[in-house]
Amino acid sequence: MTEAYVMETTESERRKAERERQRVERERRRMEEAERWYRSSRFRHRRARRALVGVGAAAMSLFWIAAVVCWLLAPSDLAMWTTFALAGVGVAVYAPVMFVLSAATQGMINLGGALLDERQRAERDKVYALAHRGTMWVIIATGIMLGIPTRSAQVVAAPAAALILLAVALLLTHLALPHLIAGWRVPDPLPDDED
Amino acid sequence: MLRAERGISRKEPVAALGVHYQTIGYLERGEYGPSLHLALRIAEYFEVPLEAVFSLKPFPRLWSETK
Repeated sequence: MTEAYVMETTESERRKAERERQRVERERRRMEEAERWYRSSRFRHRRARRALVGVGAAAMSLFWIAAVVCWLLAPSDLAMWTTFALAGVGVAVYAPVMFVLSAATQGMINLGGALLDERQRAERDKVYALAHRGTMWVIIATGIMLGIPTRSAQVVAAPAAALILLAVALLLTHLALPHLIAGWRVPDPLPDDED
Repeated sequence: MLRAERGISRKEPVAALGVHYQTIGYLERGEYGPSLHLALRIAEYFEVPLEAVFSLKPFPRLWSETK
C-alpha cells in the first residue's frame, strides 16, 4: 500500500516536472521568436524604443484620466462612456507596446527566473527597485490629491466608480512601470554576430 | 579577445555557460561584471586560467602590444 503510494507520488511528480519543462521550453521558443522579430524591427533603436515607452506611459495615463473624469462627472452616461472609451484605448495601445518592450528586454520582466541568466536577473532587480520607488511616489501623489478635498470637509462624497478606477489605475501603474523602465533602460541589441 | 581569437560565434558558448547571447556581448565590452561562478565557468569553457579572462586592471589594447 505504502509502496504503491510512493510510486504514484513519484509518477505524478515526474509528470509535473515534465509539464513544467515543456512549459519552460514553450516560453523560451516564444521569446526567441519575439526577439528575432524585434532585432529586425524599427524599435531596436533607442530613440524609437523610448518613444514607444512614452506611448505606453500615455496609455497608462488614460486610466488616471478616466478616474478623474469619473470623479468629476459620475454618475452619468458621459462618465460611463468616457471611461469605457479611455480604458479601451488604453488597453488597445498598451498591449502591443508591452509585446515590443517584452521582446526588447528579452522577457526580463515577464519570464520566470529560471529562463533568465544572472545579468538579466540583476537588471530585473534594479528595474523592480526603480519601479517600486516610482509606485511609491505615485501612491504619495494620489494620497495628497485625495487629501486636498478632505481638508475642509469631514466627509467627501466621491463616486464609487472613481475610487474603483483609481485603484485600477494604481494597480495597472504598478504592473506596467517595470516594463516601461526596463524598456527605457535597455541598450540597443547587438548585431547577430560581430565576428 | 579569446572568443574572436578562436573563431567562436557569440551564440556558441550560450548553452555551455547558460547565459543569454547578449550577455556574452556585455561581458566582452566590460559592461557587466560576472559572478565568480560564471567567471570560473567561462575560464573552464575556454580552458584557460581565470586571470587570462578577467583582471582587476584593464587588459592592454591589442594595438599597444604590437608596438
